Amino acid sequence: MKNIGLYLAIVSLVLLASCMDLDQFNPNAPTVESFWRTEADLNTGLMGAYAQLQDDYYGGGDINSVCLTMSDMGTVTRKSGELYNVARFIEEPWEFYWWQNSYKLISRAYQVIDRSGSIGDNENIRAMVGEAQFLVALAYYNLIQMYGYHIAYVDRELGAADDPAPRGDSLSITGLMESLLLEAIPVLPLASEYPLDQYGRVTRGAAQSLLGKLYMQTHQYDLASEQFSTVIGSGQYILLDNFAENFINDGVNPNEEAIFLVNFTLNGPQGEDDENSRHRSYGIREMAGMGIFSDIAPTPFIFESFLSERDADGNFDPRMDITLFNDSTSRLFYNLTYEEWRYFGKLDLLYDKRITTSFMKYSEQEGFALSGDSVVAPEKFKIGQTDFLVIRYADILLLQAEALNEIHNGPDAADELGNTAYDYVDMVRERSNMFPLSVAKPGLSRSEFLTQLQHERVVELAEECVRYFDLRRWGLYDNNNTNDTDFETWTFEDRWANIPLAEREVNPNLTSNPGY
Amino acid sequence: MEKLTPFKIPRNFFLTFLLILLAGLQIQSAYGQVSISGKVSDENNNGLPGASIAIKGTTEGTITDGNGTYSLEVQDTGAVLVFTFIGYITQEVTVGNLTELNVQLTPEYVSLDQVVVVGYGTQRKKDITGSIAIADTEIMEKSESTNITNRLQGLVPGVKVISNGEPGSIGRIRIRGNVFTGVDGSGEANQPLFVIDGVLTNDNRFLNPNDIESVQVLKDASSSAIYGSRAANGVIIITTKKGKAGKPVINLNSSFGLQQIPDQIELANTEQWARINRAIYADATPDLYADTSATGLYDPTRYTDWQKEMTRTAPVRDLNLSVSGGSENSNVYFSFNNTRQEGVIGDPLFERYNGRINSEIKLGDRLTIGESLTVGKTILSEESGPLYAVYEMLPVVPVYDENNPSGYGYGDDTRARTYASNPKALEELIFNQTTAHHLLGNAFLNFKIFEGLEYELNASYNMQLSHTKEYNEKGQIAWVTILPSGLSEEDDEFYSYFIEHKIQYQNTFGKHAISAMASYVGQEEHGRVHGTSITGGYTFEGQNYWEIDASTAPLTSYSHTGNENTYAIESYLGRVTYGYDEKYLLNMMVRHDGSSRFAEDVRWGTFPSISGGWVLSSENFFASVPVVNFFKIRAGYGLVGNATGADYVYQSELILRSIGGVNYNLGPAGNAVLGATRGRLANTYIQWEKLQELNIGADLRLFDSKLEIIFDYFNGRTYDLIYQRPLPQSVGAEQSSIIENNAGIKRNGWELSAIFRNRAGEFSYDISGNISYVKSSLNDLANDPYISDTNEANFIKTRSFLNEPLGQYFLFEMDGIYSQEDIDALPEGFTVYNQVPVVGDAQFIDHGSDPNGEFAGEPDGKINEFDRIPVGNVYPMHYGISFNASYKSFDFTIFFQGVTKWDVYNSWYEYLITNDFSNYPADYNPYLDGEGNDPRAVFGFSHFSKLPSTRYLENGAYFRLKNLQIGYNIPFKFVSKFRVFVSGQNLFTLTKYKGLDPELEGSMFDPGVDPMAFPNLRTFSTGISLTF
Repeated sequence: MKNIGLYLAIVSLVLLASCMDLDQFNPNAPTVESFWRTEADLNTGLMGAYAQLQDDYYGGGDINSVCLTMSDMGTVTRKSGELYNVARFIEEPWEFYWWQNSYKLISRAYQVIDRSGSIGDNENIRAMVGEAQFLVALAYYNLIQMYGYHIAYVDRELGAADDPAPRGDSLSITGLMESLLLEAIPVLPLASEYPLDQYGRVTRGAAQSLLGKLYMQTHQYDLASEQFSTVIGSGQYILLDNFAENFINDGVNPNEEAIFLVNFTLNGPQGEDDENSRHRSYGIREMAGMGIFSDIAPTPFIFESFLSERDADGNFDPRMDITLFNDSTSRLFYNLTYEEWRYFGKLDLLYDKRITTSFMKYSEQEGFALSGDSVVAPEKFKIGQTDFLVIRYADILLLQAEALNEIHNGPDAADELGNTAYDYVDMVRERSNMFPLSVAKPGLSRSEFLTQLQHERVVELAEECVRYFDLRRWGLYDNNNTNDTDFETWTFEDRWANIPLAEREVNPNLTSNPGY
Repeated sequence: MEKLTPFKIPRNFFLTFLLILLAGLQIQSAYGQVSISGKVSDENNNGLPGASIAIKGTTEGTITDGNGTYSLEVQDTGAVLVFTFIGYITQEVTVGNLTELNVQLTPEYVSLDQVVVVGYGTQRKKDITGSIAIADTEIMEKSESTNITNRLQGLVPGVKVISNGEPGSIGRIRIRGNVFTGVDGSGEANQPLFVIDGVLTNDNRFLNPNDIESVQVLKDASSSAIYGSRAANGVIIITTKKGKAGKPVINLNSSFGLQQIPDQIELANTEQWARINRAIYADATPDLYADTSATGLYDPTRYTDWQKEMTRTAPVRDLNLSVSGGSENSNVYFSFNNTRQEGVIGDPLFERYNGRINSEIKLGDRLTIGESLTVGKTILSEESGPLYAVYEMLPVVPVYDENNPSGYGYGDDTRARTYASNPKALEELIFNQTTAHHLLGNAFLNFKIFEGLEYELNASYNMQLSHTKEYNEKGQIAWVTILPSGLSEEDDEFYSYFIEHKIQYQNTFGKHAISAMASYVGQEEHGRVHGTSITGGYTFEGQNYWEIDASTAPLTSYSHTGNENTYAIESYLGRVTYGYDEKYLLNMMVRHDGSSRFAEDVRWGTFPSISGGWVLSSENFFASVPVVNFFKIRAGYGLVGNATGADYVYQSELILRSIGGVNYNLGPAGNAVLGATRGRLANTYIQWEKLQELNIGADLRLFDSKLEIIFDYFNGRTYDLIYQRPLPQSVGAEQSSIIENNAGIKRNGWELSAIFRNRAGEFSYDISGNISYVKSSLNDLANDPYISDTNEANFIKTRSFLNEPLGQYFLFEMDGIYSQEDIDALPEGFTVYNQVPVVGDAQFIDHGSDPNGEFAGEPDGKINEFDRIPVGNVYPMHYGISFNASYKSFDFTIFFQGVTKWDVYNSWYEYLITNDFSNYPADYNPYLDGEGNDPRAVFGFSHFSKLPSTRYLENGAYFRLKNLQIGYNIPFKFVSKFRVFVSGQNLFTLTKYKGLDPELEGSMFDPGVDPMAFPNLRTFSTGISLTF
């Protein structure tokens, strides 16, 4: 009997010995291995790459903030703090994650490119690869303007076990960008070839424009002009009659002036990172009760640029009120007049007396109401729904003018479309009721025309994240900038931001930029 | 691979056990020749209920009833009866011709025969070979803390508890320090395992500390290894009370107390604040506060003492009722508890209802079954932020301000620049409460197969369902930002199964004592979260209805979460112990563990341990040694595994979801299109973290065993620790690091405890003390020479170097402020962080050291990040001293606790002084117009004077009267005991530390940096205790 008890106990032990299931699989997310099987998967992955444009990159305002503060467009209202030091080149712009987010975009896009081969080969797949190739090139375009060419050279999806990326140079990085875009251009559809519900994807014109912009930055004006001519001659893009509609949420849609944009909206899936939150910190004044911060403000230089020339009717340049909230505007900013801001926002107590304006393009205006003397507080921050234009047709027209001026040593020669540099500038000016330049300032020399173009680009493109790149192209970034007192503390080492320390520590292939 | 089957007990399992059960019942015996009865009494001739009487050499026996009497039948007159009772010396008496046998037992101060639960079995105290401490439950009972962990504070050397005064909070407990980095490096991976009546769990708010019968702490690897994968941070084994034979005993305890914050940080008043503030803005914004008159732009008549406004004396009460009883074959213990504690700042609340039934029944001679079950409900409202706000808020801001739409005072541009929220508004507007229901049950079956061989089955279930609800009215309570109305609710469900089979054999052959145990243990844990939160939608004038159904918010303001996870472990374990002549002791264990957190081929780990003891006092050569009654030396070595990493880490993860996904918008209307990308990068090689440790100790008893001394030295290391290896950002991963087994930490230290017990007539007393020291240092870290507490180079406070203490302070060494003479004496071109210092700036010493803190040699004429040096002492000695006495009807307990040789980084001061938008400490005296010895006030965070320096490093030593209790037993004939008591906790603290509370611990890599937690409270309480 005793032995039976022992026997049974042992048997039961054995029977029960593996009642726990140690193979537990994450029910909350699929694995990567179960994905990337169909054409639809590839498209979903591509959307994931696009999404990086919204998340903190263009959307969170990182690129905007750097473009503004590190150029002569913007300054920091508070005379202290990290942002202030970034604007004055005292501190590195780590907090803007420019490096990290650019490489995330590259990684997400290469996931599409690298996985496409095993899915198949057809027109759609080739076009999606082309879109991804454009996104990689766009990320590199932003990277090289901030860090120079000695950045990490990544040309595929990297995993944790891969060797750290090698150090790039001007040949390898521009070579990679060029080949990506040249491969993408023939396979990408024209804007008009996309169905309406696909508006916002990368078009052939976008890739050609980006390639042209790259050539401009490397001063290969003839190659750039070739690309711009194709874009302008494609008939895909126009200048909108109303300049302002480029920068508001309820403008024309689709926008035929937008060559490439980041699509923001309110009604996406809940909790999606699709807010354009740049406007949050660009208010004219921090306002109790309104959730408005005022971190970055325009330099007086922008305002003064507008004052230099009146329009055809003798009024202020109509683009001024679209660009800046200023003391002569009749527009409202969050439903308040400038005078009301002066009163409620105590403008007389501004930190920096020179700053009497704030940015107006892309600002979100809805949702506030006045009640007696006090502002009725909104329930929460306004969610940014305004699309951000990365490449605008007017920019391309002005760049073509600049390229022609350089190629032909003056603004008078025509391109194959029959337009001169003057013609392109006039297209942009006349839209905004300015006298044609050919009337206002005829017969400019090459260098006079370039100087004029530099002004035209300010009044047309201020706040659009092109000035930072323009200054670098023109060599004006290098310590001869007098428009912004922030540049007083510019030194040679600030020519390029340093390769981030966090990257250098774990990637021995990379070294500090010169001067650090 | 698609198996996701829930936990199942095979049907044949029940059949098997039914058979075993029947087998047990069939074994009957009937004999009995001599009848004997009598009384077992204590030294005062009072009957001892529950004393056990065994017939030597058999399994027969009985226990005494409530009066200490017994009766028993023995087979023959040669039988020997063994009388045992805990705390008394065992007596053996031969029956002979007696029919009545009365025995008086002699007390033993510290029993060596005390049976100690050591994990999957028990041992006599004298046979222990590892480092196992027994907590004094009598002192624990006299604590008013609402949970088990906090009651352990200071009682056991090497067991550190850092508590705080927030209602319902459970202290952070560490056994022998931090050695596991965990996934996030926070140190939370160092929480020890609690084993409550055999169920593996954590300390929990719902457990009633009054139910505790005994607490054992397994500290070293050779002891804890039996719990293998769960035990690398030590094990706290808790046994709850059981019923005793005899007439039912009813116990009623009730206490009431008042709590308050014992210390404040003295803060600047309006005038002091304005002076400093004007200095700060003089440079940055000259026109703000430009008026140099006494008033400036602020209103000098306004003054709010926020600490006074927000703190209060809060009540705490505790009610306990227990009933226990039993007979020879069964016993039951029942208890009910209600505890309620209110907060001293804001409106936090902790309330607990808890019931417990423990019972045991013997079915025949061979089979015992039993259970322990506790169910409860806890309500917890956590502090919603007023603590920080109290110190941030400016004295010039009024509590209420009818000019503001919300009615609360807050900062503004010109008169009171602060972004702080109004603490009163946080308290009044925000409601936050978690209601939880708990169940923890264990059923067991013990079957004696034959003498010495036992089979035991344990099955447990642990469940917790909690619901958190948070809502608030809309209102502006801070400058610039607005608190939107909102509501969020979350349901959390947790349950775990636990099953254990154990076969145990024990026998003695002459001088050889052998025991062996083999066991299978399996456990599966499930967690599930589901929640909804709504922003806005609660703006109904008059009264809001705080339910999701009553929201008027648009659907886009709703967000939802929901997820589930499962974790399973399986273990096979065995132990063999061998003792020779009670002199030589050997203990060997091995454990084979598999965890669902690791991939199949690296899932299983084997963890052995061995320990031995030598009782020198039993040797013949020791017989002549005077004074010493017992002397044992012991040594143990063990390897333990740890699996605290997150679930599913070895599996790759795709981000493809609607909420928080990587989705994009297309089309003119911006229609959302789902996107996907790789998420966390998988590490398929992730596996067990390991701890190996050597422990050497000695147990010594002197002066008729009145003095007992226990000493332990330990030296161990962890390796294959889980640590995040940073990836190059150019990899473009969504998370910039990957979890790997790539770090190691060494620890070593010692623990000493002593207790002296004595009795002189009606005066009995004991004095005990303990002291411990542990040092942890970084031993190995792939790719990195050190770990800093932050990635922001300018704000580094600690740096852990290889082979140096974990969390070593790494600071600029401050040497006062610059005078004009100092400035004049500076070398040409001297800069501090590229700034030229002026009179009144902080003066840092130019060390010119490298990143490793090594002096580079000569000062280099500039202060930059390479001038920080390792400084200060991060590893203190901890001690506790207690004194217990009773005289006639009075009893007295006093318990002190403290640390010595410790430096603390005063984050409170750093925060208040460097933050331009907060109030300042009253003794902060910045240089201004030739006066003041603190660095001059400057606006913004980037001025070098504000860098972390030795200025904030303070002596953190403290000595605290943790607990004092005086009781009196009132003679009252209707009850067997009627005790009243008064007690006080944290009555006084001797310290030079200027922060809120020196009883603190930061996270793993900054242990000495004050985390600015809620301070411990001073409590005065009084209560009664009735026993029927």
